[in-house]
Amino acid sequence: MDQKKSSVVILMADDDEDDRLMAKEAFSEVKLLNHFYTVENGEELMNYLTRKGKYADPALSPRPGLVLLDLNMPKKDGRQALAEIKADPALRHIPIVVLTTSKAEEDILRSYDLGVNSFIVKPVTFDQLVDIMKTLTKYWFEIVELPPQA
Amino acid sequence: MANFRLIFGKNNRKPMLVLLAILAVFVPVQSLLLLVMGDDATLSISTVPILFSGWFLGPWWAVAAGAGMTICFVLVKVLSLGLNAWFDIAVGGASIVIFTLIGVAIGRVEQLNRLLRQQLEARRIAEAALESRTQQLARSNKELEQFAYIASHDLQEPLRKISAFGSRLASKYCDVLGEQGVDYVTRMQNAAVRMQSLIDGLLSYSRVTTKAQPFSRVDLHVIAADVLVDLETKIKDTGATVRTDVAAVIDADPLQMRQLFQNLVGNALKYHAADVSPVIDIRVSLTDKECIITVVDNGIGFEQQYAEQIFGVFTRLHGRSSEYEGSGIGLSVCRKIVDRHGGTIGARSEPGKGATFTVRLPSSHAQPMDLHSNPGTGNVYS
Repeated sequence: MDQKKSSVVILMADDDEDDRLMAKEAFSEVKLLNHFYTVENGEELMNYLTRKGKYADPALSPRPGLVLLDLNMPKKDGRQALAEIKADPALRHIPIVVLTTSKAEEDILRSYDLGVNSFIVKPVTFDQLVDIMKTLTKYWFEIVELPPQA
Repeated sequence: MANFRLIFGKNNRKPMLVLLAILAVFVPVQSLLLLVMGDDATLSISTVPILFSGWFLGPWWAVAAGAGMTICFVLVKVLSLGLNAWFDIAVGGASIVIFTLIGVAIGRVEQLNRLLRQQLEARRIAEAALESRTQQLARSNKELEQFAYIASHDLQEPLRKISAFGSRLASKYCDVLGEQGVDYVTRMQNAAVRMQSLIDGLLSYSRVTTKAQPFSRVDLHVIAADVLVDLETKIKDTGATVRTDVAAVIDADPLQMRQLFQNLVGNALKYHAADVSPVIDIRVSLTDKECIITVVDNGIGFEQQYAEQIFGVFTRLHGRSSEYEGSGIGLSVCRKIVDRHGGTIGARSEPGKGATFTVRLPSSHAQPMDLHSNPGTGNVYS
């Protein structure tokens, strides 16, 4: 279990600084802060995943085992990034969890259409957020089996 | 008289003037023609002005031209041949008269044609106006939908932060804040929760139009049963007795009927005296014209003077500190739904003696009282 956890890398793409801070605190609460990385929009997310520019060093930007994706972001939004990731054979096995404020039916439908693995509406309280992060990491890093990383 | 009007139209008020004008123009022309050409060839030529004046100017002109032609034909023939040739003259005159009738018919047809073209044009203009109005409505519907999205997303975003960082503050810096500090933060957070419920309320109010479904046959019995299942916990918690006598199928928006029942029964469950279990009667009676839904409870009731006020947006008869929670949107949503169905909703009550809510809806062939922003979906439930 512990060995598995050491390969845990969670990447969050969210343009909202408050939400990144809150997620950081939540991961520090569940003792996973060292495994938590953030980018600020879809373009940065794609650069990170394809190791372009400042994300070229694998030691500094390790391949994530889980991506938390906000839908509404500047430059490239979450929908576009999601479509690109799921269309790329090298990336599409990475579990993507949408974490957004949108409860809009069309966003939920569209995201699952594009192949998202889960859709979560950002919770109101911090405690709920901690719960979600706990559950998510437990599920994706302990319970499910994922294909070995290339 | 009616036939006369049918043939000549009713707008021509100056036939005599026209006749005189024609006489003045055609008599000399025809006389000249006859004198120059001298023979029956003129007869066929003389029909040309009759037909043309009928075609271009109208039936009265054809009559005038015909009369003019006949008079000068007869005159010129009598003058040149004398009365002995009466038979030839009569046949010629008669044929001119026949051509005149044809001219009148052509004139009238052309007149009606012109009228029809005018009406068609007027109709086209009216249709264009209607079309632009429809587009306007669709646009404003779209804007309303956008507003709902803004309300749900952009307004709730900062609210979530206030609430979340507030709770971080209260839990992480509890010692520094002290008792009063924590109390302030708690009050802030309660306000944020209230605002959240107001935004949710506003959203559900606007969804009555933005998420409207086309009407289909709705079995109210099924709806009522579903709603009672949804409210099962509340019914158990309050020890309520709910009696239903609901057997009716009407044309309505199924989701909205469900919401209507949910809100009315939910209200009846909520406003009961602390020591009395709610007893709720849901009844539906159906006539050819309308469907009357009544929800009767034995709750705390209210003074009749507030019976209209309670349907307003965010109006509540109980303070926030009272045991009766809520944002005050439920009954206004009910009214909006009933309005959309072309019906009425009202309430009768007395303090301490329960309340009766009565909804009247058209029972069949009802049409939504709005313009859908998503036309063409048809009756998705039927």
